[in-house]
Amino acid sequence: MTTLQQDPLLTVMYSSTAVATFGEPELSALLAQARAANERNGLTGMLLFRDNRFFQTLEGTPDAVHEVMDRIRADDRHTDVHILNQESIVERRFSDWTMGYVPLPAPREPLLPGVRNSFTDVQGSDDAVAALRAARELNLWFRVRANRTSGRRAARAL
Amino acid sequence: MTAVPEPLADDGVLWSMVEDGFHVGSRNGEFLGYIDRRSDDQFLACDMFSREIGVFTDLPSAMQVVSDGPSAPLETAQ
Repeated sequence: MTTLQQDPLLTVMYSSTAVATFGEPELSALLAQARAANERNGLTGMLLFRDNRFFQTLEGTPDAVHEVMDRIRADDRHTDVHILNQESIVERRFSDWTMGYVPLPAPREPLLPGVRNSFTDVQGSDDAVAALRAARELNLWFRVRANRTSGRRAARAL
Repeated sequence: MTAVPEPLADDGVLWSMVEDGFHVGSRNGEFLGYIDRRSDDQFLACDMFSREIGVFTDLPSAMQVVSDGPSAPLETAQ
């Protein structure tokens, strides 16, 4: 990354919904476009996608983050952009990824009684605290998966 | 739509599943750790710093050891 260490950093987590059905070709194109733009603008982050819904974390200088969020809101490929959290950070948490991606498989096993589903909570909860918790759980899961040697390759597979 | 209070276990721990076999525990918004089911169907429990704290044959045992540990803000986890 070319960003100077002393530059202030901002991170944004948001969810959104694809307007049309998103298949692998569309997702690959989106990731390629995002990675190229993020590389130019010193942005890092990760994307999750399931059931036509997106969850994304972005980090970079405040100007760069605000600019990309303006572009995202204007992007007609998705709608219902919902900011889950926006905060200053001291260091990047996704410094290795211009836009990391790890496939998040749909659950096949039933939830245990009382157990929440993070991806569901981040998309559909009216409870801001629950949505933020779920967003951080997704970030954690991504880092655990991607930081494995095999996972790191998967993070760049698309 | 009205927000529904999140269910808690008797010990005040809220568990979430991100994908099949991957559970994250928190209490009062503080991150406790996570459990990752391995390919051999054993449950690897990790603390708030992603340090391995045990491998268990069943999920409840792994949940218990994570619940018993200290907590930290979730964003500090690796």
